[in-house]
Amino acid sequence: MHYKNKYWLIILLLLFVGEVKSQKVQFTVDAPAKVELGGQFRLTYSINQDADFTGPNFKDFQLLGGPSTSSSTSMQIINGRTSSTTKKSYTYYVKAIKLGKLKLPIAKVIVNGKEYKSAPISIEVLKSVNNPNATSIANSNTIKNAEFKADGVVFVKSFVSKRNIYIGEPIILTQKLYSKERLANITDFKEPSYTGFWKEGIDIGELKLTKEVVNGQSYNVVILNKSVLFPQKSGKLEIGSFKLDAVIQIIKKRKARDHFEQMMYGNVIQYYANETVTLNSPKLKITVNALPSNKPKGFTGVVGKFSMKAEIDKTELKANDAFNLKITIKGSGNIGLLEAPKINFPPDFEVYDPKVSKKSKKTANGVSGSKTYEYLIIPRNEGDFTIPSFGFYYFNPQTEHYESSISPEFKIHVTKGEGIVFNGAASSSVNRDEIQYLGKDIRYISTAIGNTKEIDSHSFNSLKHILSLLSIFVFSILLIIYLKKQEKKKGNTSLMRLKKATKMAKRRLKIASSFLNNNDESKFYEETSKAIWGYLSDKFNINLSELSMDIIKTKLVDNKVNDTDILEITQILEQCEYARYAPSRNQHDMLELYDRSVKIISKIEKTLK
Amino acid sequence: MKKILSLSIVLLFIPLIMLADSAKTLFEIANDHFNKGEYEQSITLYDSLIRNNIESSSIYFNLGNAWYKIDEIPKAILFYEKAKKIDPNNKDINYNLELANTHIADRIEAVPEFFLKTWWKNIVYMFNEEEWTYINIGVFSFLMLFIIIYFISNKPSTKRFSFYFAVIFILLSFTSGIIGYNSYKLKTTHNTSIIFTPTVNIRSAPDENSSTIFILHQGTKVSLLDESKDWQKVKLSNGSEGWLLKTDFEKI
Repeated sequence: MHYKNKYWLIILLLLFVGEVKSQKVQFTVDAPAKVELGGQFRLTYSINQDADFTGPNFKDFQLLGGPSTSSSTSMQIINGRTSSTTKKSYTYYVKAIKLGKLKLPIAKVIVNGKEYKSAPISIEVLKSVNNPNATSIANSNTIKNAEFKADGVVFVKSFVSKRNIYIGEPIILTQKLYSKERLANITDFKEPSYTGFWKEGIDIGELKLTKEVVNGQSYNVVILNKSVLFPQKSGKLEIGSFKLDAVIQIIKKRKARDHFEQMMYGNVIQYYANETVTLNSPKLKITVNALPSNKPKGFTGVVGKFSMKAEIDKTELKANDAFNLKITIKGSGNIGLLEAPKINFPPDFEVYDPKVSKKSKKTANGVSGSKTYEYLIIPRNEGDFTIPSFGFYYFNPQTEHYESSISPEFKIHVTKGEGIVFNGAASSSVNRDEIQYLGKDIRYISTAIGNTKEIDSHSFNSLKHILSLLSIFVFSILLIIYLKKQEKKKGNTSLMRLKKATKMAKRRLKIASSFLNNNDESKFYEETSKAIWGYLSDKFNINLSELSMDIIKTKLVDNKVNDTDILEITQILEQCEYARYAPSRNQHDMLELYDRSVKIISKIEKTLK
Repeated sequence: MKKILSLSIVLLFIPLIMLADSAKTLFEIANDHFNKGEYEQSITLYDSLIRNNIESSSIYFNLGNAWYKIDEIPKAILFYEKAKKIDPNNKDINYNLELANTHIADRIEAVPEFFLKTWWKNIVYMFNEEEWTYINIGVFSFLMLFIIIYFISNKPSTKRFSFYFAVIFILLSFTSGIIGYNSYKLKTTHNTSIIFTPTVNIRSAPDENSSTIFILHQGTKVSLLDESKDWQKVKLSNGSEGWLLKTDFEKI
């Protein structure tokens, strides 16, 4: 410090000398003695004469802008002596980027062919404590507001509670805005892309400003948004960058415009100006692990820590009365995605869709709450029923195991209900026919006991049946045999005679004809009469000895033989008898008789057949 | 020979006739109880008849009615079915059975039958088993009569006529025999039953752990198929099949 003052002294001295010796070349450097790291300052090289200026070479500093040149000429008249001063300045805007005591770069001017170098001034760069702008402005003569840079002053960032998670494990995403400057407004907030996540917002109320120290620097922090994310697929997932336009107020300075302002506020007036900055948050990479493969049956993908409680309000009821099954699942995790556990209700139960009520609390630790399913169940028929125990399965990311909460088994006794029987859950409409029946009563009992039998007795295929059939059969066969026998007894002679009759008659007639040829009259008549008698005897099945003319007549009448034929036969027979005892007839008569006999036998044969 | 046979038949039926007499009084007492509304007493009396190995369609019908009156529909259906087995054409039995069936839970849509089968059934049910036996015997007697005529007659026209009739009666006695046999099989085989457990799970296999295919309720009639130890395979009139425990039903 002391050393530095010395320089100043020298400069002043030089100025003074310059004043004395006019037109002496003065080449000065104007810079703050101390700057904060990262602070911006003005570095001004001034010369009092027209000169060729060669700019410095910035090594340890960052050139932000410049040089901007300005020149001023002043005329002085002192004691009649006129002296004019010209001043030319070259101003650079520089940023300190290194800590420590640094030499300012040297600039050169050439005046009248002579080269002048700027004084080797060094400045001290300190750790920044305050607003860097302030210092730079404080030391500047001319008030120039630095261009606002958002870097490190205003930024946005996303945070997640965990970076290595399982599918379905909730994480909290916090989006924050950091600012050293005063924030006026936030506009145009654009959500990031949440590919592969299921998001549920957390209500954070009004935006609140808090203080937070980052890297030793304090920031005003606004929590913009908080949400719970549930990863839906495994792998490396990315939460995209969100975007917003922040309007911040930065202090700017200007010179007082007039005397009044000068009197009120002093030379330099500070004021706030709105600056809109577009900010992008860095992207976040999250590793999502797939769930272990040994998934239990009934696992629906819920991750967290849960417990299930199931209860019914009745264990004994009448058919068609209702009871309730209440299932409460409590815990932390994705309550929204919870599904009711699968319950195998007895098919006879009419189960209505459950009434679902959900209570969830989203806190910094994630989502917790409870979900309640209330089933209204109506058993339609009597009986003993069991609702089998059912489980709620989830993956616990803390223990990295599948866990379950199992309900007890419910036994329900349903007694006979009142009213009509339900025909199953499916058939809601009853037939019209059946409704007609419902009012009617059964028909009255039968008053007669009827045909009583032994149980399982049967008449068909019974002994009685078989015996009946068999006896009818045997009886019939016996009857046939008996009748046949009787007939044979009777028919043996008669039948034979009948058959032989014509044969015998024919033979006798043949013999008779031979007698006719021999002209043996008595033998001829004898044979003819024998033939006719024999024929008739055979025909009527009567012995010759018993046969007489009257019997023959009645028999013939009985057998419906013509009266003329009967007459003819009696005539032939009488003629034969007569001729046998009175043989005087000629051959012609014999021949005639023979023909008549043959004719009549054949005729009778026809009618008797 | 024949005399001895008919005598033995008569002797065989004497105890039955004697029994029938006391059965008749018992039956009438039971009917009196029924009329007074004392259905339980009437049921015990009817039951005692059956325990004494006496059955008739009327006993079963009245038993069914008594059970119906005290609202035991499955029992009522069981006895109506038993009565129907003896007397398939009785209108009262069929009416009450149909009415009782409107009170049970299962409404099973029967598979439509082939029309020839329906005809056949109608023919078989036209008479009960006993009547069919008499028809069979009668038709057979006629057959034998015509055979006798055929063998004895000498007249060719009578012979021809009796031959034709014999042929017709051979056919008739065969058909009546087949129908009668069917009727007898229907009566004596117990391959249908009524479910008695209020609600029964019909399973896919004879095993408690096998899956339930469908549910039946008391009063439903099922046909019995195979069996395996305590399990019975049953078939519904709509063609569905499944297993249930033998304790769940009672045979008709």
